[in-house]
Amino acid sequence: MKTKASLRYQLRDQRNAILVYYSVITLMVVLSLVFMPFSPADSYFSISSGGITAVTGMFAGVLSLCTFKDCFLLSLQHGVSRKSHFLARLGSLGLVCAIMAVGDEIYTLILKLLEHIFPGRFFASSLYEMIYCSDYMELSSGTYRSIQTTTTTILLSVVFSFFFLLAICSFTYLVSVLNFRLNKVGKIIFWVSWPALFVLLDAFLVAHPQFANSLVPVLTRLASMTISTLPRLCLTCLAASAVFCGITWLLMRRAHAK
Amino acid sequence: MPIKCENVTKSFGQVQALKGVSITFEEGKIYGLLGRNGAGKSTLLNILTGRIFADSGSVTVDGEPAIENDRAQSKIFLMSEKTLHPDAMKVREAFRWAKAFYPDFDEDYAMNLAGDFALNTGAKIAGLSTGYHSIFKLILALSVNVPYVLLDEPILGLDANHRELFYKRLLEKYAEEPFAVVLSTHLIEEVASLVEDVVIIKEGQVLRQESRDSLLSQGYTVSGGAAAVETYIQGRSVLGVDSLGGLRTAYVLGQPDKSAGSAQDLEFGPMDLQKLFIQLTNS
Repeated sequence: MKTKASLRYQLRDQRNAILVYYSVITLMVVLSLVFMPFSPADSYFSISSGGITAVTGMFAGVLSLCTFKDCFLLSLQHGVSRKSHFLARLGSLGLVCAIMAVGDEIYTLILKLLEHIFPGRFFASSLYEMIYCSDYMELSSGTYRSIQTTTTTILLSVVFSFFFLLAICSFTYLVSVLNFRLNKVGKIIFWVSWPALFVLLDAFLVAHPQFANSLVPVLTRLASMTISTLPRLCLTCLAASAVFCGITWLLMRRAHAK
Repeated sequence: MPIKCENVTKSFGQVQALKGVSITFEEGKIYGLLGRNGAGKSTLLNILTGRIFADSGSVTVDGEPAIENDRAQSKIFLMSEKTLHPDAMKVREAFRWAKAFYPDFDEDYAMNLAGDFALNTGAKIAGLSTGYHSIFKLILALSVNVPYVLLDEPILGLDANHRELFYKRLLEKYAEEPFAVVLSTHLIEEVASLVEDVVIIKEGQVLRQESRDSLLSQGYTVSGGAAAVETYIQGRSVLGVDSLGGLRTAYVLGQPDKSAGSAQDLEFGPMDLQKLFIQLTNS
């Protein structure tokens, strides 16, 4: 029972932010439509939206960063065990990612519909189409030919977006739980050491170009192995999410009220 | 069936907050959990409700483990000093969510209480004053309808009128259907008449757990002229003496000896819980 209530609360906690996000991107399309008649007849005017899921990914990441503390403390206040809270989190994670994956696809389809109504004025493709569909192409700077939208493409786009968002949200949620568990000194060390590590790595690669030259092919092969096809990407994202969620649970199971 | 904690220990770094605490809180009783600052009262309450973990020992509620157990925890409600609700949440939303987590939460009663205390239910929790923060949490605790209600410093920042109203509503609720109330407070005089059992914690250890009457029967007060009181308390175990002009009141352990020669002009009365507490917890 407490898991269900916790799930409801966690969904409610994210609901408004998601509504605002989709309202804003929809409003941008509406504004484009409103201003379209005022564009000079001879000027080139087009609205393109390629891979909205990339933007949604950033939004979802930030959203997940902000959901842990309030929900966790409220759960403790209401006698919800950490296990129930975590299970509810998994549920809300899946639901929110699914909702946003579907939301992204609906947004893309709306723009595609506008593309039919106003040919040459609107262009839309999902991130899945941009990455995995070979018949999507840029004909010249600023002009595109979009692929034929089929039910399969729509479904695969949703699947892609779901797993993509799942991995991002699990990662940023892990970061927020880790941040909650760290004490003040730990936080300073953690948040200073990461950028410092990147600066040092960069300096190291500049100083040792032969190392950089051998690293790039390894990374390219790794990317090819993990994300070169949709099933591979889904498995990679799922595995990454499982690892992130596992570590999150290890951190959360001994977390206490602060 | 009670809340039972056995040999609970808890350390924060070098500080040992609880040292093998064993306490039982039975259903249908009002407890006073007393202790000086840093004695370990809040730590104990937080462990009972799973907000922090004990280093060792066990806590059970009605015979089943309390830690990380939703069923056991649904029988307990802790009103702590720290508010765990999100800052942006409104009072009435908090009531609604309390109902979602505790199905027996009486929303109508909570709204009525909010009216009695003049608490604006449309206000955000973060915007409430210290006193109204306490009132908000007290209303939650009184409306939640669980067998064990733990109140940590419940009257922090409350004015005399609101304190009076709280005690009144608490007793009304208790009279309707008795439930266990654990009152952790420093205002001993105010709760002295309310509590049935007293638990005194000193430096992380339970010093006493017994009924208030039994505890108070261990001593008495004797009042009268300074000279008479001084004579009477000679050779007796005295907790303390208050003086006002030529009058004195002494707090004495043991049974009153009204037959003593020096007792003729003296008045004997029951022991004062606060005086007894001060004496017991003075290092």
